[in-house]
Amino acid sequence: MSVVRATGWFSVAGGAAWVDGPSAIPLAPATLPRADALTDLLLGTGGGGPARVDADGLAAVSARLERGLASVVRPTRAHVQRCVRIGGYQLAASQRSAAGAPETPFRWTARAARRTVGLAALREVLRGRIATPADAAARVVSRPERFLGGSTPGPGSCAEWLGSLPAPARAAAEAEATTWATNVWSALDWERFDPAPRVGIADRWWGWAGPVRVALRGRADLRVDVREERSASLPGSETRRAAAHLLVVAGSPTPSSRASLGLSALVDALLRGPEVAPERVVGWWPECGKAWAVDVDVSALGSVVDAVVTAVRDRVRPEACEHAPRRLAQAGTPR
Amino acid sequence: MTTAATLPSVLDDRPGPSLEQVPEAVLSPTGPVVGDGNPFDATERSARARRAQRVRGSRAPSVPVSLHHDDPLLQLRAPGASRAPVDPGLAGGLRAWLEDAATMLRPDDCRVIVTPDRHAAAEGDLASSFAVARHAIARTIFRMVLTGAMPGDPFDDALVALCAGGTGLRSIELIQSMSGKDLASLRGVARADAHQIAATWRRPAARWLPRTAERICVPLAAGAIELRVTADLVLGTPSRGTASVCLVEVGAGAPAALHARSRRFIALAETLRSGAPPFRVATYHPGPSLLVTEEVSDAMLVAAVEDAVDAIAHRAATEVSERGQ
Repeated sequence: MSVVRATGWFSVAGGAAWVDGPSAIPLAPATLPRADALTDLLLGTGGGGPARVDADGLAAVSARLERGLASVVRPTRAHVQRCVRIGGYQLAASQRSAAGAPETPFRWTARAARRTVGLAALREVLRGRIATPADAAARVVSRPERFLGGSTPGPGSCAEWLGSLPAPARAAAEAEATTWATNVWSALDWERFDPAPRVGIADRWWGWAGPVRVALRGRADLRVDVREERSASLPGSETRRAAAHLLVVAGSPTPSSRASLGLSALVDALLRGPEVAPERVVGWWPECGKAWAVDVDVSALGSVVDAVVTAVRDRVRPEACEHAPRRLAQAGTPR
Repeated sequence: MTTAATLPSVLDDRPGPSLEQVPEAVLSPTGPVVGDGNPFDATERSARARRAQRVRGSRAPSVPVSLHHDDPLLQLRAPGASRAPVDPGLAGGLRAWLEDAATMLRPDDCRVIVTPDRHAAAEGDLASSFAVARHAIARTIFRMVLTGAMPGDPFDDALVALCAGGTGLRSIELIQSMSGKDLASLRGVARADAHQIAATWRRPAARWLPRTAERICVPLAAGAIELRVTADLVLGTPSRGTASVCLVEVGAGAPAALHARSRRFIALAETLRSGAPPFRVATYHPGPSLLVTEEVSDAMLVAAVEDAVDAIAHRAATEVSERGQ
């Protein structure tokens, strides 16, 4: 049974919006449009200042992760040259398998491709090249090799899949991407972002090289930065500070959502250090209109680490062999 | 209730309305939305219960209007019709009402999914696998036409689109299990439905922000109960000020009471999801080529809540019964 907890939820409300859980950040009691409320969450203007992770805290999180991985990955001959990839999907699947639901292997479908195509379409709209998400999605689907990764799409890539489709299937992919991109486009007040958010940049990977290699994938649909003064004595010396990640999620929130959201922050923190990690990760479920904000602190990252270790433990089986991703970062180094 | 002649048609070759001419509520990319509040807060719940009580005594249900129409998009937009202002407390009141019922009716240790299709199956109109398969294919063709892809062989193209879609597995399995005679018959009606759909609908203007096959879900009772529905076409984005969304379903067979319930259900789901009710819901019946539109009113949403409570009770009882056997 999938149970949505009553605590910790944001409801973007007319009249008031709040959460009553540990990540509670009250929004102003005003009739806020959805775009304003979600944008407030991303820019951190909706409530109290989010906690930061300092270097000591990150070192503790990193050590906890390495200890956890070492405890579940035993050195055996069967594990040699294996790599276990963990992303948000795997964390959710780990919860599902614990609940008895079978895990299905990935294959490209219009539904699976809607994020990839939708993000490419959204980028075109935000750059002002195409007026609407529907037109942009049509353009992306008609020229996938141009918009989705270069002139020679890799084997198994979304671009290759789209290029192989007959017209009716392409129409299905276009329709799904149009719906996805339109929902995201209409959910945020884009003019309030300065600098402009980075839309759908490549996933980041952090690697751990033990008896089994473990690769953690940090995925965010939107990475929001804010400008801040480098020094009060040097006006104009601005720098960019990572404020938040937005993840657009299908369906409705589940108990594993918190860990899935926090994974992108964990990977950024491990790869690039605490000062570059986002302060908040916002999950948004357009199908049910819910948003959930996870403030990135040591406690939140610790919960993600526990979920990662559990997922790795579930996957360290002889039949779960995967190839290591090419962009795997240097193993075991937090930065 | 509907006026169709005052705006340029998107179906002819004349230029459509410019961005400036389209109502702001339909255009706004940052469509303001008011949402529901926290259903678990006691103070807010009692306030919402009062609002819900106020809603229960509101005006009479609106009457569906059936029209054969050359341009269904104009009929859906009805540019001359007035659109109701959004009551910011309405969605919260309806949700409080549903949450109360869901909390009482939720079964232990199982999840209840309530969909309007299951109501339909219970009515018998969609009970046969043939009707279900026909409906799935008609919806797929509808989506293809709205995306600008005119099907060549409607049946084969719809199957290809269903396979690629990733969500039509059950429909594919259903069709694969049909006999040769039924398949031939299904191919014939799919062709007839596709002809009607292609003759009636075209790709909507992109500035109306059309979305197809948009899924809406409303978790209740901490996720133990979920209302689910898929709108075949959504136009406009939710607005804080004025109801501005129009939702369309593809209906199976001729118009019937179950379609009216389904319209109410989808209006309720959209209201709870976005916090603002849609201004209009419609059912398109490809067989008779009929578009039934209905204005969304407070009374309609109240009726939808009562339907949903009945459906939750029915589904919960069924789940408990099935687990007991």
